[in-house]
Amino acid sequence: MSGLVRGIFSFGAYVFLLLFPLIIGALSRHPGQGRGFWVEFAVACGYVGLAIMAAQFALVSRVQFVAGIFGQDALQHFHKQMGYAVTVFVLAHPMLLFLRGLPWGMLNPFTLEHHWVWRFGAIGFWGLGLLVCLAAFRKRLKLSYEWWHVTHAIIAAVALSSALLHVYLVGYDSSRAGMRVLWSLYLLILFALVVRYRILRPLEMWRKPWEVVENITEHGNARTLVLHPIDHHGLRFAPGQFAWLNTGKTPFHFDQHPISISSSAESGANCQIAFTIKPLGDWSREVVPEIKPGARVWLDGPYGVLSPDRDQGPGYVMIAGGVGITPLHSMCETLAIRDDCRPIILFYAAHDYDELIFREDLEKLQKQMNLKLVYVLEKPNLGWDGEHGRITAELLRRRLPRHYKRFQFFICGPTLLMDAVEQELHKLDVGSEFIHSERFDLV
Amino acid sequence: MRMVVVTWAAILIAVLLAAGCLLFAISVKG
Repeated sequence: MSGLVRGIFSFGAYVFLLLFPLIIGALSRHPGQGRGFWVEFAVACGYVGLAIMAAQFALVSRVQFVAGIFGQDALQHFHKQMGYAVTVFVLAHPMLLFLRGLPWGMLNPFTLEHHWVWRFGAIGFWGLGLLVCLAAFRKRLKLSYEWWHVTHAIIAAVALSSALLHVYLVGYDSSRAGMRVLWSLYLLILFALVVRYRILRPLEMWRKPWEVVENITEHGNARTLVLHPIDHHGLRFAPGQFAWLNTGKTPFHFDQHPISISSSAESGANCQIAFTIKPLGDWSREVVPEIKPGARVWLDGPYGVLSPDRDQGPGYVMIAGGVGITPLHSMCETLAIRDDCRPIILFYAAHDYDELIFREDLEKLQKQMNLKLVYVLEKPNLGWDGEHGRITAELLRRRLPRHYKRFQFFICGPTLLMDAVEQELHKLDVGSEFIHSERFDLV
Repeated sequence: MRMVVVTWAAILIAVLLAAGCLLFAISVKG
């Protein structure tokens, strides 16, 4: 099945699954059972809200069929956007009912006089509110990613279970066989996804462990972990892709991080793979430097759609900021091994010369392949006669070849840099279809 | 670019779902 067909199928299936409860609800009603427009609209908002909540996990459970089309980062972004959409529907559900005379006290889960049906509804409502607030304000609240990730999963499970129990106990539509079968089926699919994500996938990773061969200190305080497969054939990936690196005691550990592969996709017989990590968070600052050769780690991947293998062109323009060089380094190394003679212009922005990760490697590659290297330093050292400041349209125009508009552009780096560079590329009339980036700074 | 498409896809889906809610309410309101 082609990517476009799979994309349309996935989009259609998603919308259908969200609307299906309304179809079943409408079909199972007998004439004269309606409760008025606003009450029924509120009920519909509740059903749609619950269906979105149930489908949220599917978006981030790394299902290759879908992740391979849109990219896991796009699915995570979509998960976030649908998180806001579900908030609107779930908020509308009680609000419309309150306007029709339902007492506001129903939202208090601690009121003893309420039946459990309302209490579950209130827990689901406040649980979702807490979930959205923690995700939206994680950085402002200074919550670590690891802590947030665990609590996000727990609160989501509690909110969804409470909302489902609320629907079951309300009766009315949900007392009918069609609705009961439908929600049971959704619950079963969700359960299967959780089992696959939390049990089967880690078990598969456990059968394919990796050993840390080297933990190399790079420029800019970055670290490169070189891994060797233990009794398996390693990982086949496209240059530019990433994998979830799990450094816990077992692959069941929550502590896993999406890291770009920095080594060549054509590693040959030794099957080694490398990940380069900059100390930007608790895990990368405290855990990564302490990983010793001989340690066992686990990988889930490969994922990602940022790759010259996917978007072929007569030439490539790569734009990196800081540690964003890692997937682009993998691309350059791979293309060099493949004797690819297409032109590559690599713009690499860093704070200063000492922060340029892989600079010796890149300079070596420049001699081996059709690679033009342009360093752009924010704070250049004394005597620096190269580019400095920010990557602007003017700088790009000066360095790009004449036919750059047909080239494929890959951007990787901090969000601010990627946003700015995309705008500069638009000033140069580079079509959006030629600009590729991957974003993980979503929460 | 992909993220912009994704945002618009989410908005489109939200509108479709709201329209679905409206149709449901109209068809069963009694």
